[in-house]
Amino acid sequence: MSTSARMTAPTESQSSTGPAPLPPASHTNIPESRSFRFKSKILGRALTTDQLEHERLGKPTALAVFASDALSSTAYATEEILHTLLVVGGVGMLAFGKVMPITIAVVVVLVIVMFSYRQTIKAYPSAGGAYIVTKDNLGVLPAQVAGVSLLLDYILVVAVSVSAGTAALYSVFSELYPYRVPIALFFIAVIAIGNLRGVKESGKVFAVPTYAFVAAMFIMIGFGIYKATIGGGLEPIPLDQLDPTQIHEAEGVGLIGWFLLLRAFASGGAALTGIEAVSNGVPAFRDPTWKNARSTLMVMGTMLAFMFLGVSWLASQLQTIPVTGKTVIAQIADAVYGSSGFGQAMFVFTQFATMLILVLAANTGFADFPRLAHFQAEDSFLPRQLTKRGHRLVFSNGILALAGVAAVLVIVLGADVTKLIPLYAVGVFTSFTLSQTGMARRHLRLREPGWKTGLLINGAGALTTGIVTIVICAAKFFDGAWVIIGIIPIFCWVVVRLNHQYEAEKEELEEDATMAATAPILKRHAVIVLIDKVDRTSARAIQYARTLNPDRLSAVHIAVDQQHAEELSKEWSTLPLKQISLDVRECPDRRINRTVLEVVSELAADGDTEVTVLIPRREYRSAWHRLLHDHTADDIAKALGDVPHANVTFVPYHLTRSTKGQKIHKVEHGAMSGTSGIHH
Amino acid sequence: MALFSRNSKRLEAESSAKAKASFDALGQEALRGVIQIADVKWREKVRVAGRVKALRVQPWADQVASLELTLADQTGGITVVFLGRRTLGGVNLGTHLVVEGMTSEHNRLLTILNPAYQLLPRQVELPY
Repeated sequence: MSTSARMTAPTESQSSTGPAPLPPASHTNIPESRSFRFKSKILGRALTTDQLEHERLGKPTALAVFASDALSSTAYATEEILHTLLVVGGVGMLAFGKVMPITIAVVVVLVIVMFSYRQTIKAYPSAGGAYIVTKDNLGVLPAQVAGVSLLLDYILVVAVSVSAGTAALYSVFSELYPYRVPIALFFIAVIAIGNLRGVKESGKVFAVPTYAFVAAMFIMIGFGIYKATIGGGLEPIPLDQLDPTQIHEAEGVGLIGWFLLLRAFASGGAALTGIEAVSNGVPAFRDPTWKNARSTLMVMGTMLAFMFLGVSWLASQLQTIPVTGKTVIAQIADAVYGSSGFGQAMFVFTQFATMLILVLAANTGFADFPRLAHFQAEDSFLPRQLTKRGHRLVFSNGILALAGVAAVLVIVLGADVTKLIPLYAVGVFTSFTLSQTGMARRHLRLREPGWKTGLLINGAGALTTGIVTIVICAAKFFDGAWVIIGIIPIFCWVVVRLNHQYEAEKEELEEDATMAATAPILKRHAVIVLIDKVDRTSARAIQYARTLNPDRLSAVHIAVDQQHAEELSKEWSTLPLKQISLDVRECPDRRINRTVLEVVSELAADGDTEVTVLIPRREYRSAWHRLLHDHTADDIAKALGDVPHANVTFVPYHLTRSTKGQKIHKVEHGAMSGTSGIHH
Repeated sequence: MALFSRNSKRLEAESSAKAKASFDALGQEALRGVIQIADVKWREKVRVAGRVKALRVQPWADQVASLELTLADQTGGITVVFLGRRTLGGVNLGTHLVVEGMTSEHNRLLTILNPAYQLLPRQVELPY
């Protein structure tokens, strides 16, 4: 900076120093909204988009991340089979002879599905969820069925897992049983907040509970086998330890019909949920992704099969009877480990491991639901909001939606796994069937090397899962599956309807966009300022209107109250603004929107005028103040949306501390908060 | 089965460490003499580094345009104008750049016209 320059041009300091650098973003003095500050406190600092991490998982970690959902179902699948046989069927001791055959049947289906998914993983190494596979091979509409079924099932995964986790907890601390619904809701809230913060799918969080559960199950099964063979045989839990309802169930003499067996099988089918998790997350694996994903799937399936078989075998040997207040797993652990100090410790360990993996399984739902919803929303089959990444880069809206619906389910069904199970599995098997059929079609279409084997595997998969779907629908229909069977078509209809809406909008907006951009602009510009009172707000709006240099500028007052209008006119003439005409309009029916619409239509009638309506609007900082005032301004803007060449601009004026009796001071504000035209 | 193999993990860590070292050397070289944007004055030769915060193409005639971008570091921002072009290879929103040139005024903003520039890899940390 030179002094001579300043002396020659003392009034224009800018000419001597030049412009300054722009202030850093953190200094831009825009106060953050209260909700943002609250969000930042709860969820942590907002993340920037390039912080989106694509973590690659090694096989052991990937197994922990993806398997929790599948493996955790061993915690309740056996129990549900027994429940169907004993409580619903009332077949008494006969039930225990049927547990193993049913379990084996479920495991056979599991193996078929597992091999089918091996094919999917290879064919779709970049995320091959049922939705994508079905969309690619069977078309967009079947994909919606698959998507909707899966979405419903993810909701149920959360509800079932959280309820079962709560059950594992109250099996240890029986005094917690009356509080199971609040506890389950607490779990949902914790997981939802964790996911909103963005729980990294990092190994440590997942590995410990998953492997602890696997260890707990295998130790328990091993111990059971040891006891049964070398240790002197496993005795059934004596009847005198049971409470009266259990004895009643144990003495049932119902007949085992085919239908009952199918129902029990359908309940056991819940064990297969979560098997698709690996194929959803193939890109998360280290290279070579699909090979690693495949071997992880095989390890997971094998573990699941052995754990399920082991638990069912122990249950049939011990003749455990499902009862409220203590899960079958808990009964088995209790019986196998006995009442020694070590036994008790192992019992508690088993229960905690079970609870943790179930909570984690709920977390899988939270990982998958928002992602699937995002895919569907991107194809315009679900509301657009679901594609938005939130504060911490996760699909917040999806997470909130899932948490809300799951919480409602838990409350309505009282966190009762048995009531939830009939709803479950229909969706999973529907999507299995669709994706396997899709794979079979793909083999027929592409005929890649080895397509015949692939076709055989996926064909068998499609056939089996198709049959199982029908069995589940039929067997569980009256237990509650009808809800899901009813909801899926309705939900599908809704998403298709939604899609038509989006497509129609898109078509209209994209039609002749270039022509619209090159169309001649209108010659004249008329600006009207809506005035209700002479105050700072209106004054500010008039000042702004003058910067627009319109061909015609007038202030318009809609006279709802004759007397007020007269007073206003009088006051107007005393103002320095009086060179601007105040147009007072009668409004006998008090429909302000309608009258404004008339004024605008008159101005635009020549077909050569663009009309801007300026609405002075007080902005209130607090929700309380907002409540005190009506939304006339917004209503007018909405009404004008239908008039061509009518545009609305709000001129904001911030009221800050008016309530505390301090002098109202003007807050620095931008020229306008937003312009809303007709087609935006 | 090599399910619990740690070999690939170690290799990955090694190669990423190597890459980081080479990026560091590159960054050191490019960032020599860089000052913070808040200290930039009008009509001076400066060397600054920052992140591309805004990009705009200002058309002048049918075929003529200039590319204007706002380069920002933690302390402030400056406008950088490349006359006669609509794009600059490798320069996008979020790109880290080092630019060197004479500061002037353009549209009432502190501006460097047609500076010498260098792209920085993301891994290099900006000094300010």
